[in-house]
Amino acid sequence: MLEIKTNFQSSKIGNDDTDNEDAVFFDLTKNKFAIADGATTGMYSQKWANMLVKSFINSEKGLFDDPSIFDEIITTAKVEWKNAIPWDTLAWNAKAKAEQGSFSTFLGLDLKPDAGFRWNAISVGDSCLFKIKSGQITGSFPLQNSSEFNYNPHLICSISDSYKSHITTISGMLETDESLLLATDSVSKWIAQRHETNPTENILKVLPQDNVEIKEFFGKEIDAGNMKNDDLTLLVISH
Amino acid sequence: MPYSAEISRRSPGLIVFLLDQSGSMGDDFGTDGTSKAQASADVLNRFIQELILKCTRGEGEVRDYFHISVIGYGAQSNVASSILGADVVPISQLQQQPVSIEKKKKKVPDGAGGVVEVDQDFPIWVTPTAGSNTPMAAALNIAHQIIGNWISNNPHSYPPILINITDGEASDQPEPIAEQIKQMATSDGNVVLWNCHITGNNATRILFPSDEGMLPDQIAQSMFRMSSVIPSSMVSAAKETFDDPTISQNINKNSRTLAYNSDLIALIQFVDIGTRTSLR
Repeated sequence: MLEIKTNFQSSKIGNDDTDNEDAVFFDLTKNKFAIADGATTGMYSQKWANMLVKSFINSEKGLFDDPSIFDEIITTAKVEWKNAIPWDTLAWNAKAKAEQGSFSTFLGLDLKPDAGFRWNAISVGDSCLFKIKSGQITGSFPLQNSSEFNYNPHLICSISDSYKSHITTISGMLETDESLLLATDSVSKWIAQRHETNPTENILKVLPQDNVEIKEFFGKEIDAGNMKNDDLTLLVISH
Repeated sequence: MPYSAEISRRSPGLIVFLLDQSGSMGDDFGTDGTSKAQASADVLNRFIQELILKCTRGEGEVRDYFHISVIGYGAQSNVASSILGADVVPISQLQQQPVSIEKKKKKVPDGAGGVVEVDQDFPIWVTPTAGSNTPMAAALNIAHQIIGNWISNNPHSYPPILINITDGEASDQPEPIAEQIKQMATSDGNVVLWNCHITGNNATRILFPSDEGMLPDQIAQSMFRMSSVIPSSMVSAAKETFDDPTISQNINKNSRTLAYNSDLIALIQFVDIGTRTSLR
């Protein structure tokens, strides 16, 4: 049985909670998890990020069933996006901007019970998955180093198939003393930097348990210049 | 590092346009009968439209990342004045108050391999005007005052951007006040003065010249002296935008922010370089 150890989200400091354009969605009965980071430069990014994670989780099929399932998931989200926009009532600028599409990163994780759990993950962009064993990071996906994070990650667009050339996948096993940590770019880069500075650090002990304390902790890291002020998402899944 | 200040709603940027409305702007710009006044208005309207789209976020709200000023000069003899109704206008207000919105047909993919024609809105804030003489120094004096007030109130903001669109032949002495403006600064760097010098003649296009001798006449050379040295942080963006080797190979740390005899598309790309910064 999988367990959510941490499910934390907060908006960029200075913004309202309703401005948060990160999305997280999971279903423990399906063993499926997803996060997405809507691009602030676009319009309806919050909607689009939420449609992507929900389309992934709500799909009857998973990454184990059919390699092409991801295209179906994105197509479903695209149709929903197009139907959700009130095209006829938009102001001239909103209509022109919406016609350019909405953009988001995506990271989906699908697990299957085995001796432990087998897992498949799929990604577009810089939202990351970290493998953790006894508290220590043993791998990350899709980015490997903190230097790989920049302001122009690959994105899934609501009106284009350009994401197809930027899909990356990975699979693995989750043992009893292991966790999988999913995070959007600001938290991911911060974790990658800490790991590069101190590879044996127990990241699960560094992170507070309680969401109020995590928010305070990350706020201090942002103030100290160790973390980018951005929407933050952190999901820790343990066996 | 200069020119790295965040542009946000709490710390917006200022863009001031100077638009030559003198009689000579009624002359042809190209071979299709378009006047220089029409071409300049097209550049300005297109630029404001693109800026509003950049600032359109969330579910369609326009965030005030920029405040805009447009000063016309020469519509009447020796007169320069703001043409947006106020000296400085938040970008969200411009979104609500175009003078008119023209409909134009645009071809877009129909999703099934073909194309369909759809109406697209082209908002207009500035209409073409070609009036009298060219009081460029008078316009720069107003810009000096507006930018001075802005810096007093926003001493740490991204440095104000001044973009002058003209056919160049000033009827007063603009160089001294242009020099004063270039010396103005926030803690993030000096004001950058961009000059778009359009001519309507067949002379070769010259972008980002690094030497006065590259320009063909005294008017263009004066525009060179009035233009800023390109901030080093914008050199690579300029090279990427204009990857034609005949242009990019001339862009270096001594280049000036001057576009001489440029076509409309390049002019829009040219002024865009100055505002290509992270919006938060």
